[in-house]
Amino acid sequence: MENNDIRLSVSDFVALVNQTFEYAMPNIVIVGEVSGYNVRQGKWVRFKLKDEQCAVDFFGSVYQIRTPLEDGMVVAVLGRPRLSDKWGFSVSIQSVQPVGEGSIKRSFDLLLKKLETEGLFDPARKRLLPELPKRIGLISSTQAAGYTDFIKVLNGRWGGMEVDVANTLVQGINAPGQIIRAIDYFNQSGEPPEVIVIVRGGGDPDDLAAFNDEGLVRAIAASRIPTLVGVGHEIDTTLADLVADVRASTPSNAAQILVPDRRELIERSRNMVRSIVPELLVKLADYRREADDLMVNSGQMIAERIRGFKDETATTLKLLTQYDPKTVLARGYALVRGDVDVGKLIEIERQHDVIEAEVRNVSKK
Amino acid sequence: MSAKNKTIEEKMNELREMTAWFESEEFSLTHAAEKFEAAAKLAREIEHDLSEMENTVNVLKKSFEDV
Repeated sequence: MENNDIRLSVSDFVALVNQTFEYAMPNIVIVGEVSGYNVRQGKWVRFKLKDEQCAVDFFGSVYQIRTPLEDGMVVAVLGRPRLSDKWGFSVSIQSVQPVGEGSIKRSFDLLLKKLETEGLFDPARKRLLPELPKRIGLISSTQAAGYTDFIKVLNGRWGGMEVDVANTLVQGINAPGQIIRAIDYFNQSGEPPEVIVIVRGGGDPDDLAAFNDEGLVRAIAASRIPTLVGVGHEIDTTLADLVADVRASTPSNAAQILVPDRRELIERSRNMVRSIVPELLVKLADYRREADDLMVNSGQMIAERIRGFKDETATTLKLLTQYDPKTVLARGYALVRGDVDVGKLIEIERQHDVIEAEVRNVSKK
Repeated sequence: MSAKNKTIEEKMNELREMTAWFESEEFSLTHAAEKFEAAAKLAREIEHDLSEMENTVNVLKKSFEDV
């Protein structure tokens, strides 16, 4: 041994190795296939990650592994290499994400089944979104295309809202933690938004894997504020979509679901005013028809009254004629004038002559 | 007619009621022109309000990175 060699106790050596690891590799993501996966006391997780040549031990707690694992799955582990004073070398797990279509699908299915059994996707849990929200809590990456799409469609459709944006990662192993913290932030805010919207544009299954994170799915389910999730394209389904109160197919679709289109409303209000015109024309036509009918009716009434008067006059005339003494004389009767006493002269008028006569006798009938 | 502080929904409801008046028993020809003008004015106001309103997008300074 040389004099300049470092001589350390075992404990110091362990401490130095750990310090060196921490300095050299503060955060490192290791990708490999899971083997020997096991959970002890329902709490401690151990497995190896391996490739064709090597295998490395990993250690962590179930709380850090928010995606179901099983042997054969390919995963990316965010961890810190550590030399334990008791257990030797292992990588302390901080988070795990499945990698590659097969593993993602398998993990998705396992978690889906688990959360489904717990009733997390139950339609009865779904809440309605506020009709016209004034305050929106948006969680997305301001660098992402999905964010730009959402804001663009939102601004086009409706205004007067306050949108608070929590700028988070939307892919990668650190994304779920950031999104969860943003959900908590909005839920604990003094002036909470009326709705939380989480959006991210399309990507390959690895990019969207963050949205199948168990912790994130549970955080969305636990949010007191209603949630709207629009992740990926129409064909993509993530567990975050399924657990949200309302699921949008894309970020643009999320904006369409959230607010009405002002152009439609403008058109509707214009149409309301336009619809008055035909209604008014119908009303005017009714008035005209009624006025016409009244005119015709009054004309008829007047004619009827005139006819009535005529008939009445004719009847009266006829009756009067009957009472005319001339008519009576014409029928052969005579009119006697003067005192009907014996010896007195009386005047007898007939139709064509007047006779003077003396009363010879008056006898009672 | 309608105050500035009314919301779009309130104005839309008001317009709906105004339109309904033309089909209601209360309709009178004497007031039709005046009511029509008021409805058209309100519709223009709604259009103006809707076109003018803008969103405030505020990107929070808070970092959500793990600490």
